[in-house]
This record gives sequence, C-alpha cells and structure tokens, in this order.
Amino acid sequence: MSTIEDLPERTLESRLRFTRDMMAGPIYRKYEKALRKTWDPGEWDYSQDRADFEKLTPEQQKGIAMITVRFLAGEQEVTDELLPMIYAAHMLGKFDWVMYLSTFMVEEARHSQFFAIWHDKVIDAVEPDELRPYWIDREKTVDPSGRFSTGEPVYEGLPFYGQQLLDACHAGDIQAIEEGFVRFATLYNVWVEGVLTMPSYEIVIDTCDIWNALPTLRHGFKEIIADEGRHITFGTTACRELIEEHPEYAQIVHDTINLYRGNAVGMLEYQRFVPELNLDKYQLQKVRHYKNRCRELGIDVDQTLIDDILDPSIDFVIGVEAG
Amino acid sequence: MSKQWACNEHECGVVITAADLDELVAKVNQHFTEAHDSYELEEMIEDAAIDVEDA
Repeated sequence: MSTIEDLPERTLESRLRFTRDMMAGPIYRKYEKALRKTWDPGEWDYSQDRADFEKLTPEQQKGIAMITVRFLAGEQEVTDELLPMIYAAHMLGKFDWVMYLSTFMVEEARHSQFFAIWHDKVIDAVEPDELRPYWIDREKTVDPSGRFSTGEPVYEGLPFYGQQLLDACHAGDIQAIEEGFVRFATLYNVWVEGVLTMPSYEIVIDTCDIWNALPTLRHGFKEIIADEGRHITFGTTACRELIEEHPEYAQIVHDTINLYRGNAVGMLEYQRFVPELNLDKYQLQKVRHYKNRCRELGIDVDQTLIDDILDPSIDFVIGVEAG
Repeated sequence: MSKQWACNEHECGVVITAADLDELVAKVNQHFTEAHDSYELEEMIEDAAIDVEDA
C-alpha cells in the first residue's frame, strides 16, 4: 500500500489553475455574474404575503401551497444532490466549472432558505407533518390513455445518477465521468430546471399578478428564476463542450430525457388550480424551452417529443393525494 | 458586429437583431411580452445570441 511519501511531486501547472482563456470563458463569466447578483431572503418582509394568504379561499390556499411545497422540497433535494457535479468537475480538471458550481450550490441553498422562511412566516408550516396536507405524490398522477407515466426525476433520478457519477469519479474513469456528467446535467439542468420547472415559475408569477397578492413570493420567484438561468446554461454549456469532443454523447441527452418524457407531455396537477390561467400557454412554453435547450446543447430536437407535448388528446389526472 | 437571436416559441420564428447584448435582451423581452405574454431569461438570450455583420 502506498503512503503519502510515495506521491510524485506536484507540477506547478497542477497548482496554479487560472488561465486567461478560462477567465475569458462563458462559465467563468457566470461565476462572476453570480457574485454580483446575490440576494438575501432573510432581509425580506413577509407580512403582506401572510395577510394576503389569510384572505384567499381554502381552494386558493391549497392551490398555491401545492406548488410552493414542491419547490420547498425540490430546492432542498437539489442542494443536497449537487455534490457529484462538483466532484466530476474536479476530476475532469475543469476549475472554472468548480468555481461556478460553488456559487450554484450556495444559490440552491438560498432558494431552500427562501421557501422555508416563506412557509414558516406565511402559512405556519415548515416541517413534514405541517406540510403533508399540501403534498401531492407525482407518482400517483396518471395518464388515462396508459401511454405515459410520470415519475420523480428530482427524488429518484438525481440521487440514482448522482451515485453513478460518484462511482465513476471514485474509479477515475474519465469516459464514465464525462458520460455520467452529461446524464446528470441533462436530468438536472436541461430537463428538470430547463424544461419541466420553467412553466411552474411563470404559473406562480402569473397567479400572483391575477390575484394581486403575495408580493414577496412573486419577488422570490423572480430572483430564483434569474439564478436558474445561469444554472441551466451552465449545464448546457458544459455538456455542449463534452458533446463537441464526443458527438455520441448527444444520444445520452435524448435517452435521459426519454426516461421522464411523461412529466412533460401532460399537464400536471397544479397547472389547473387557477381557472384564469391560460393552460395552453404553459404547454407551448415547454416546447420553446426544450428547443432552446437543444439549441444551447448544439443537438437536434426530437420532433416526436414536441408532437407529444402538443397533442391535445394527452391529458393527465391526479390519482391519489398524499395526506 | 451585431447580435442576433431567433425565437423558438411554437410557430413563431421571429429573428431579432440588435447592436449589442443589452439591446438584444431588451428587444427580445419586448417581443415576448407583446407576442407570447411571457419573458425570456437574460442568460438564455446571451447564450443563444450569434454574431452577424452589421446591416
């Protein structure tokens, strides 16, 4: 067994990581921008949101909380599951990725903090038993045609593929790390953040506008979505770099999206709770965001996915609600 | 060089050209507000923008 004394002397190049090219690159620019765009939800006033929430009907209260609780849980999950990306960036020698991902993790933690404070101060609920009445099990959402199912890409997919990526990092297998990174970033940045969640932000912001209520929730969503823009385009920029070197990795993107195809093709439960919302708008947005992500990745779109998203005969219903 | 961006909203395809990125972000969001009752994020506009010869 080797000891620390057996290690070869480190080269100067392995100790000094900055290069002018790195500092001029798109991912380093995102790091700089993230530092300039920081915000603190602990400094915000939530009293108007509490007063507004108390005036909502029970159906409206449940409708909005059904979304915000999903965000509260989801932000905690992604904060806790980001580590494999940082490890992979380290193993691939991408110091600009490591630097940017340090801001990414802080931002996901801050989003979690915002939702925890909002739920605590506005609806007096922050712990599992208090939030259970608002939780809907996505696994219980069903497609009556039987063609598609919805899953939990955040709660099942990210931990699973994150563990695979960690295993590849531990093994030092560069090809497996690259493939695992593309798979993980596709699920996280491209599909969850970049397509599935984008209409949800707009649904909340539109709902706050229609109700003329919950100004701090609206403000928080606007701040979060600006952070998400950097997260998503970090993922697409990093994957594009790997795909340009290995065009076969493009198939990993399509295969990963297909695992959770059903989550995009139907309208999910909370897209219906405000009758004034134009639901077609949010379906069309999924197509736009999917095409945007493919453009950023430099890969072809899967037209059959677009056709499925736009197929009016595919509609989902809620099965069994938790609690 | 100018900056150019193409709209990916279903059945849209509008192409917007601007003198620089700041102007492009403003013009794209004006388009989204007016045509799609929506918005596009600054990062996504910047990452999809291409350089074109000045008109």
